[in-house]
Amino acid sequence: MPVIEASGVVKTFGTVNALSGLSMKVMPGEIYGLLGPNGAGKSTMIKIINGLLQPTSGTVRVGGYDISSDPFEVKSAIGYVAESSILYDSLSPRDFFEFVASVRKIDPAKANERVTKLADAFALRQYYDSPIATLSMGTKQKVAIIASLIHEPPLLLLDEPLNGLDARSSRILKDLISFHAEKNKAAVLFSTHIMEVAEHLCTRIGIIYGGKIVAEGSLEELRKKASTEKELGSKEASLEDIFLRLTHEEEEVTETVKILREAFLVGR
Amino acid sequence: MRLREAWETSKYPYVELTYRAAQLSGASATTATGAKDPKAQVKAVIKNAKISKIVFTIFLCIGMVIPFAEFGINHSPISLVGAVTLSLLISFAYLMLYSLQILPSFAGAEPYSLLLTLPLTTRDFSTVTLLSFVRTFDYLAIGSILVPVVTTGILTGSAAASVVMLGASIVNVIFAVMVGLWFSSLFYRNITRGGRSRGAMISRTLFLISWGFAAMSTGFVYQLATYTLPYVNQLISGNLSQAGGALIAALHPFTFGVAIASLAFPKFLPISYPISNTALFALVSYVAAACYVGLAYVAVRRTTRTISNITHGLGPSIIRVAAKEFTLKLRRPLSAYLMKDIRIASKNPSMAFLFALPVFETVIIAMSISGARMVGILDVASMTMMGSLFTLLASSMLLNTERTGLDYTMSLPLGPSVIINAKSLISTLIYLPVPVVVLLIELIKGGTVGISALFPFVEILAISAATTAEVAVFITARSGSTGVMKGSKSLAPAGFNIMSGENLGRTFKAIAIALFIVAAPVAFFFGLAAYGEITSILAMTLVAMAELIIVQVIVRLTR
Repeated sequence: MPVIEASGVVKTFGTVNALSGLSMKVMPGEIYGLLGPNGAGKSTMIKIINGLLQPTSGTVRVGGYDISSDPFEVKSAIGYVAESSILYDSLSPRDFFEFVASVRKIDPAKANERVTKLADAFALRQYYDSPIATLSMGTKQKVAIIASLIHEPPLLLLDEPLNGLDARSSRILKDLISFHAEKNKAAVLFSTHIMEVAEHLCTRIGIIYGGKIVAEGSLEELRKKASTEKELGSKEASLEDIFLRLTHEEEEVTETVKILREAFLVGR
Repeated sequence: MRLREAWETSKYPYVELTYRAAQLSGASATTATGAKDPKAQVKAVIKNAKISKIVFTIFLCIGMVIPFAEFGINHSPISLVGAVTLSLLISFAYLMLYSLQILPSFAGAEPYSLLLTLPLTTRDFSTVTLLSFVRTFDYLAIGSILVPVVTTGILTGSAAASVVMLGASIVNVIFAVMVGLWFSSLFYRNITRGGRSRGAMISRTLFLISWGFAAMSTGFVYQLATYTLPYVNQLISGNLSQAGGALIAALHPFTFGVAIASLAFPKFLPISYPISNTALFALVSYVAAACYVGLAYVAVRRTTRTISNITHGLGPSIIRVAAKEFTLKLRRPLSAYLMKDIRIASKNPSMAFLFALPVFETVIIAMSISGARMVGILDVASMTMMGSLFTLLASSMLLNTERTGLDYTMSLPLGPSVIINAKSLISTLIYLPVPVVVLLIELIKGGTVGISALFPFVEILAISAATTAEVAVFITARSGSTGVMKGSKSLAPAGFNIMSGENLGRTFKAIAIALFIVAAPVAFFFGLAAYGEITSILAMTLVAMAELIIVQVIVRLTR
């Protein structure tokens, strides 16, 4: 059974169509990368799955539960990292983890064991009792990541989780995600702008454009799809090339770069 | 950089400072799901801050003029001394309290961090930052300087007195700003301090509660003007010894009061030998005034240096306390939510304001009870209802303080009943000191109430029911309203911003229902008063208990 099953999801904000009938499935053990340009609807979709926004129409089911009618069951199964910090600034990381773990009714021994290991791994000792408002963006992100993993959720929703993380923490997180998906058969929905990360981490990629999934599959499948649209010759296309090809932005980007190059040369 | 250019440039860090102050105080409750138009919200915050500054200035000016009313009637030197003294005190209090609202975000220096990256000379940077600091007080400073000068000039007709009043006002503003800046740095250091030691938590909480009471004094100063002026005049005109009188004449703001009165009434200062007491006091005040002017000059230099240090990132630093272990103490969801709110309250000035509000308003009502009269049941009811009313307002404002963390909370498996009950428990806690204060007032003044002294204590039940209903009505979405999940009662995703356009109607509805719940037991009490005190209080208790049970049942059904 899919962990996430979205069907014909539409979301409008006034006259703006953020999502225009998006459909997707994420299976257990899968790391699904959601790629798209700014404003494509990635964060909107993640918030809908999480119950933070309601779809204008369409259905979303998580673990068989409908987010509209069974929000409690859905939220129990999700670990969420938002794109921007949505933590309580006045609380310290310790206060925040206590709050989250208590609300999620996690076994105290397990919660303490996991938090201790994660906080150590992410080098949080110096910041553990400082107000979150005083932490750097990267450290706040670490707090959010630990809070999302504390209950070993069957579904991780990660919206640009690597924002602000140093190389060490990025590597730890990527390895954790892979381990969690492989060993615990958890599903991970991962939104990122960093093509290299999606290329190496995700087992399946969905390209979202204009509020819809325009292409979906493994990297190889997407490569084949992109190359049927335009011949690439012997060069193996990177995910970035594939992305620009499938979202029909390749020519626009080439033109824009040409204009910028000319602008820089004018001053000389 | 020319001064005009620097003044224009100073607008940008000033706007940033204002916005951050609003965020700190909870006035800007932006959530990812609640803010429809962030740009419009930023504009609204800035506009509200400007209106707040203007309103503050108006209240300040009125507050500074009120003490002169008695002098305007009896035109005596003693009442002029009292008027000037109190006027300066009120100005000091208002300026300091205003600075406590705005300056904590200044102490963090974040509004100036971008300026530091621009190619500005050190001198230009210092000028811009100083001017942005001046912008925060411009209306208030102008008001607190000009208003007493004009008032003194009109009422005394003395140019010399007006000039000294000008000096006194400027000195007063400088002292108030300096003290306000010092307190703000202290406050900033307190809220950014880490650590879970009991001492740190207690000192933070006490600091915040004191801040809350101090903030409430802005409303109290009007009472002060009329209530304490007779005592001030009595103090001055009483049979003071030469030493006592000289001491008072040397103490700010009495110093300027005596100096101005002596210039407005030269016969108050007869040059004769042996020198009269009043002449001595006047001479002492002139010397002391000169010293205070010197002190103000030192204060200006010190304040300018402090501002420069802060904006250069040399202000109060964040103190980090490394954790020795990572242990978590887990609780039940309701207790965890309650603890979360209490922890946020211990570091948030707007929450301190909420905690102080009901008790303070109760005390203000108590002050209106004239000294000779004993406390009757109507007085008890008035004090209780005032405390209850402000508890309901505090309850609404508690929702506003969730801010961005609300988005995370809404992603957790939390039913509305947990949030409703947690907010209601805190609101009830806020109300709890009110019956104690009412009882104390009855004991101090003497009461005629008998068993009806239980009135405010029974009201605890009604408050609990009312605040539960208030929060429940606000946060539980109904079919057909904005952002509803059809067919299920869930947290309204428009956020907890009680003053946002789409939530305003819901806010008023919630408060109206809560008011009804609070008033119903009171109506029964007075309605059955003819049947005796015991019957009244019993009826009130039963109604309040019934309300609480009904509301709790309804809340459980929304789970």
